[in-house]
Amino acid sequence: MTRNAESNKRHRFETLAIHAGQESDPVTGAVIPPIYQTSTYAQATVGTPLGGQGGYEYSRTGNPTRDALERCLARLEGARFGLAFASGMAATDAVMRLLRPGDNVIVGNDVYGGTYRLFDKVGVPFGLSFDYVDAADAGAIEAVLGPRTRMIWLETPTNPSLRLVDIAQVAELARAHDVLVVVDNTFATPFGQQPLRLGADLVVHSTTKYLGGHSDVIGGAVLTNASPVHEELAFLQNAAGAVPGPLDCWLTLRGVKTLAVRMRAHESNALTLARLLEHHPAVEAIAYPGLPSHPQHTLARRQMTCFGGMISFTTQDGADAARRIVEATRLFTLAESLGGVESLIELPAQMTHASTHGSTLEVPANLIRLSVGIEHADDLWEDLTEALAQAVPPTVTSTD
Amino acid sequence: MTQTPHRSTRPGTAQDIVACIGNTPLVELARFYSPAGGPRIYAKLEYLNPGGSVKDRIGKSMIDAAEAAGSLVPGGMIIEPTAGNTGIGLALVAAVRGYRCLFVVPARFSQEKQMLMRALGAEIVHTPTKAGIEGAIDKAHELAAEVPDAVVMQQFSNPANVAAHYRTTGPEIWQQMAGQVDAVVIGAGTGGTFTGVVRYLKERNPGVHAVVVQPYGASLGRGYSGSHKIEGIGIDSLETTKLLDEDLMDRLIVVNDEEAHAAVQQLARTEGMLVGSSSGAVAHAASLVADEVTSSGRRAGSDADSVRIVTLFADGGERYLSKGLYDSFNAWTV
Repeated sequence: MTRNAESNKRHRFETLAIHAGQESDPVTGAVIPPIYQTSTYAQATVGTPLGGQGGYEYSRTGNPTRDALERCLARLEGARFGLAFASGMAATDAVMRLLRPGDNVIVGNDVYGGTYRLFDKVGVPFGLSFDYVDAADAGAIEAVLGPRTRMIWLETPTNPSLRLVDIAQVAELARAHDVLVVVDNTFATPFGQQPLRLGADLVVHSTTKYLGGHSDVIGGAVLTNASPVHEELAFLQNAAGAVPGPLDCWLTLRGVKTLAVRMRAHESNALTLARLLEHHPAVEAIAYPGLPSHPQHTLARRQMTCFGGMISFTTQDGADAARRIVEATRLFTLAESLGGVESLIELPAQMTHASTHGSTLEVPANLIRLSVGIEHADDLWEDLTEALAQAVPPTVTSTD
Repeated sequence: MTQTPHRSTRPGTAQDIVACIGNTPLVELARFYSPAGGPRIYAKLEYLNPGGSVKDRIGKSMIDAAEAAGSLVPGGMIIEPTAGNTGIGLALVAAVRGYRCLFVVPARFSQEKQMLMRALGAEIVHTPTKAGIEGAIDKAHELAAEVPDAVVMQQFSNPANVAAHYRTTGPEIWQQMAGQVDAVVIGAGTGGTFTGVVRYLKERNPGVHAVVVQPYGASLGRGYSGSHKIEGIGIDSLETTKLLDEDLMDRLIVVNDEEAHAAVQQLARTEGMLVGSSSGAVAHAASLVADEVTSSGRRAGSDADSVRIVTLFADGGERYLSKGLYDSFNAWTV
């Protein structure tokens, strides 16, 4: 054990983000876990890794850089176990593979479009059934909870509407049944919300977003305290093989180190912009959990320790105005994805959530989603106001 | 009180061991949780009760209530499904007052607790670990139907459980903290401690933030969740949640086995406190609450230093030595 791994001392979030799972390298003393860019490992004798018991055999099965990432993410979520995947969707897919034909899943009804596509185009043909409900209403979940229900899949805040689900309430509802509660915690991150602490069974992440934080790596993760589920998922991770490479794990770990400071900055900027947008004439309605006007602000305060950097709003003048705005910003890049240090803007109905078109999950055509970065808030606001002027040219005045 | 001869008690001495239940110390955890400024955590050391746990309080209170109701007659028998500590509390009071005890214990619970119950004169019947506390509850009722003058105390639904904490633990905390309690962090097994303590504290100050602590893996029927090593808390079925008043609960914090285990060892080394795993769990949860107060205080530009968080250490670590509580995490067994 190295000095920074003092046994049993409890550390706070910021410290865990930098040190958990990342003891100095025992051989070289390297402070940062090396990128173990290797596919295979020497064996001392047949079936005995050179590294001894618990050593490595093959990098699909296990890799030291991936281990470091998995242990770090688990600690941040209050989990005993963590598994890293090649993408958020690979993580979601592994969780879906826990199910068997005939099983039913209850899904919050404004789930990420990619999750919906996987469930609808892969899960349904496999024999799973999905009920999409307004998960903010526990009664709606209870109404569809049946004997075949094995899983409840939640996002909170939801994507892209930023509505909230009371995780503790849903977990309690699931308690009496044999139902797993899964929370996609990509938007909130463990810095902002820890679903396992509220009674959820599994947390899924697209680490591509805030955890990685720099829009330069694709990854996913599943964190849990449920050892039988972890064992099954670990089997799937190895058997199906959707693992991230060592460099990707290393990049994600590097991003995670600054998660706390980045999230505070994202939140501060988002709150500034949300307050200004709320009173802008081009804006019809705005959703940001940190605004007192958010209908679930009380729940947000109870459940979240950081409101994050995602904002969504609808425009007064419909889809055309919305399209003009997202195409007019210069600092806000028109792009899918979210959670990076740079600000992004998009039109979910035609981009991230296009796959929900024609379904009950379809999002309003005039909804704009912002992933607020950590640039200077004033620069971001100047960029936004100029773009909003495209929607309502004559009336907009600059705030400064 | 039928068995106790009336005679005056010498000043400075106690009439009997039952009179020594309660009035436990409340101690600040300044080494376990010692930020530079920020909230303070205090622990009510229930393991310093005569029988070594918080359950002494309900042992006395449930026997008092059964005596008052006339259901427990001189020489009668007390039957109870118990993980151990309640059995010790009941057996201790029963020894002083002359009752017989028969306890139904799921096999997995600690050997030390069972030895202590036997030492206090109780008889023990085992039920399979798999049947959980529900199996023990059923078996207790079965046995009670066969034995004349037998009473099942039913700690999971007995109002005297809640009353013990409403009348003693809650007021003690309020007095010891001189009314300065901002949050309480309490583990729930029967929910009796939580409901009694929080009901009292919220009557004095409705603003007290009440946190229930549960181990991950509690809640029976979930084939997926797996069991937990943390012993004595964890609500496992609806049958055992009757006393938990959810309206009093501001939030739940789930703690995992590794976190509780690390906290137990840290409490021993830094505070000199030998506590059981449920105390480790609540200590960890209290730290998380304190961290949040600090960071939200900083965010709001306000001062978190005046915040007082109270938790409760239900039992001691010595009764888990055979389970390897002070060994490495993997050597610690259920």
